[in-house]
Amino acid sequence: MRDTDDSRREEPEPIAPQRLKEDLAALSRAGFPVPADVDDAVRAMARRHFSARKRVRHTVGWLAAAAAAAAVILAVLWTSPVLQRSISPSAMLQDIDRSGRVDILDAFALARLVENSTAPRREWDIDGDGVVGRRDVDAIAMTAVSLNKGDLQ
Amino acid sequence: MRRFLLGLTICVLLAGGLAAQETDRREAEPAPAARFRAVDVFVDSGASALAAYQLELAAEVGAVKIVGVEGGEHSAFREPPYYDPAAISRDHVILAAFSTQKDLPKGRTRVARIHVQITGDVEPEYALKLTTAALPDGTRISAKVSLAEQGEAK
Repeated sequence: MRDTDDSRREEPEPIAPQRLKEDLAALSRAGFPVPADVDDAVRAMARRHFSARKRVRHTVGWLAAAAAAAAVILAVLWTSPVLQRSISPSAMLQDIDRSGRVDILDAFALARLVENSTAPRREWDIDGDGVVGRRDVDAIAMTAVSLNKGDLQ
Repeated sequence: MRRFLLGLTICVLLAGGLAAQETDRREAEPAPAARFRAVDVFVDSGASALAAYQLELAAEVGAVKIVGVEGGEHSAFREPPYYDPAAISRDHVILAAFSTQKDLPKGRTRVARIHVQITGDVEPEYALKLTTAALPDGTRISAKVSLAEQGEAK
């Protein structure tokens, strides 16, 4: 082990020949003069290139922000009762008293309308059988008591 | 080899006997007791005439199954109320009824009777919530709802 260390210490530093040193130094020096207008043109090209990239990044940022805003608006509309009512036209049809939900008072309202009206309106034909009567009232009442829309559970 | 086969046969027979004994023991265990009760549902509209109501009943504690729904005491609500047939065999029901007749109940009136099957020893507890109640002209009113189980007020 000691022998190896000693032999390393004894190795001389490599010395490059003078000619090689000069050639290497010449390589790193500009070999020809660059005119000022070429320099300006290169600088202008670089500026244009980087400003275009900045514009693209800016546009992408705006697009991402717009997409996020659109997603938020859609989520709000999707969960709002307004859109839900427009999604389910049959539920809207059964909401006789326009309270925003179907409950027994809608069936009750239709029952009173049917009892007191000599010319029932076509839109009261909830089950679409061509006759406005007790079956339409029952259809609304059954929607009202459906377990799919319970509040307690 | 013969001894081995004999031993194996004895082991199989013993295991079979033990399994049969365990099955008999399990069959002999009494099933959880089931009992039936009637739960009366009341709506109290105070001085106002009650023309329509909708309420929701759910068993929150205990193993309860709804097995039947009856109407109430007043002629206006004597017919069974509207309910989802899917509520039978479940512990949750929405009841609703209306009447267009002139004679309507005021004050506390029994609007329905629910028949339930209770399994196990846990005493059931119910949640009752009034969704809506109305006067003969459809105007919404506030009202109180309550339950009574076979003469026992709850």
